[in-house]
Amino acid sequence: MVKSDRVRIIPRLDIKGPNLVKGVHMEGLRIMGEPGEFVRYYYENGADEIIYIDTVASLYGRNHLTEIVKKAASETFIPLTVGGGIRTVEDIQTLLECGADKVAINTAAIQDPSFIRNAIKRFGSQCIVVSIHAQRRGPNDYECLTDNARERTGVNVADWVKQVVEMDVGEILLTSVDRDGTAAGFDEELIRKVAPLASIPLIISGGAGSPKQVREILEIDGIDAVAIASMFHYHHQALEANKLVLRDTLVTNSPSELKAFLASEKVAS
Amino acid sequence: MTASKTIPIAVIDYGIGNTFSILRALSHLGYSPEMVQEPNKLQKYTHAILPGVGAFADGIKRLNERGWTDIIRQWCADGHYLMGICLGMQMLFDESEEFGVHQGLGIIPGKVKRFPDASIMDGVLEYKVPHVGWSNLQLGSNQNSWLGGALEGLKETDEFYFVHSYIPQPSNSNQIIATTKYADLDFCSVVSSNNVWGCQFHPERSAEAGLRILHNFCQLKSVKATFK
Repeated sequence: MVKSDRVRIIPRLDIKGPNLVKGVHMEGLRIMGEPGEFVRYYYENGADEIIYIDTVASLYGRNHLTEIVKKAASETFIPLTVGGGIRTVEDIQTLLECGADKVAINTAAIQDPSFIRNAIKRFGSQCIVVSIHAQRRGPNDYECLTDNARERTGVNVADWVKQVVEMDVGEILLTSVDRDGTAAGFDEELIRKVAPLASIPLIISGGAGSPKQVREILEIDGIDAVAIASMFHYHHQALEANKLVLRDTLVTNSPSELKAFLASEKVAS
Repeated sequence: MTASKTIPIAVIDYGIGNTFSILRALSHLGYSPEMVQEPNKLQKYTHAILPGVGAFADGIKRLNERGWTDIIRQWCADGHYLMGICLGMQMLFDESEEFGVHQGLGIIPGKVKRFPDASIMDGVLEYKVPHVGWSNLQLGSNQNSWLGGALEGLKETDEFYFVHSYIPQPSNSNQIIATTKYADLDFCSVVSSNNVWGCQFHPERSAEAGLRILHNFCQLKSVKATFK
């Protein structure tokens, strides 16, 4: 069985206004700091890509990210994926002109799948990432949430993944709302459900609290990338403050340290 | 690596592709990248980048419609330095089979083909298309081709960012400067024919190793290109 050649390790930055924030279950956002400073650190310490998500953009239908993205794209030379509040091909064009390589779309994709088809036609599959916020409803039953996990849709995650794959989307970013910010580990049931359906690259997100949890989840076939927020952000913050004030469940690492750990555990990352 | 950085570098703008990151990468390295919209202005430059994302047919159509095709061919034949990136590399070849057969620039002999269909083993795909992610380069058949060229000083462990569904197949194996392995498949990831270079990956998005390639390319001079 051939697994993905090399799993990408992607710091994920949730943005609110000018700040990097982090919540739990996508709520109770706490300010972590200035995003540019975190991104510089990640770029210099082995990040394979960066994902930015504007956490309030889809509520207000506008995007605060353009300046942050421009700055990041000028000083970090790795791929940037940007999401949050993207509703039109003009929104995508604007972000690409600011230096984004890919855009992540959730709310507008579910509301109007033809928007995704048009976006692919205009910018190519490689540019379009469909972001899915999954919340557990029962055994093997997950629902897609929109508007940064504030709204229910009634759309079943597995059904939506199948549709997304058929649309020839470039990648899927799958976030577990239940595990987001908890450091309690990935939602294995969710990932086992989605990974076999994803014949396109799959990025998993939500719950990473330790390198060991990352290694364990990568035993599932079909995961191409892991997006991590808290574990990296608290690590950087602790280094900066020269102290560790953490919940018991959170074991921090930098991207390069995580990659070295995975390599030592013989995971192809 | 001591030559002047003041030479302006043309970034060919034919209405496709995300040129922001290429411009920023070249500026970061200290060069003066300039977007060139009019083909007849290409004569001013000794070095040019041909970027590109999206579909082959759309890219080559835009080059044709805007009058770039013959001018790029002649400019290369005159010994100037061109680097095609991703789709820009693929368009250097004779033809591509992406959504039907389409003629390319024909500067480097060969074809562009889709990754072969992956088989499903034990319910798991052997590999996914598109190939998205970081991979390393291996020396091509010409063992000396990294010396004095765009790959000067790089190691086979250095990794580069790829995102593509199609792969170039040069007719002349001596023009394969580097190959890359995806699952069990080796494909040409860097091609060169004298002064013309192509990278299937994105050097402008491949951190320090990628920047090194752009810098090496911008420093190429006719004397350096005689190694083939």
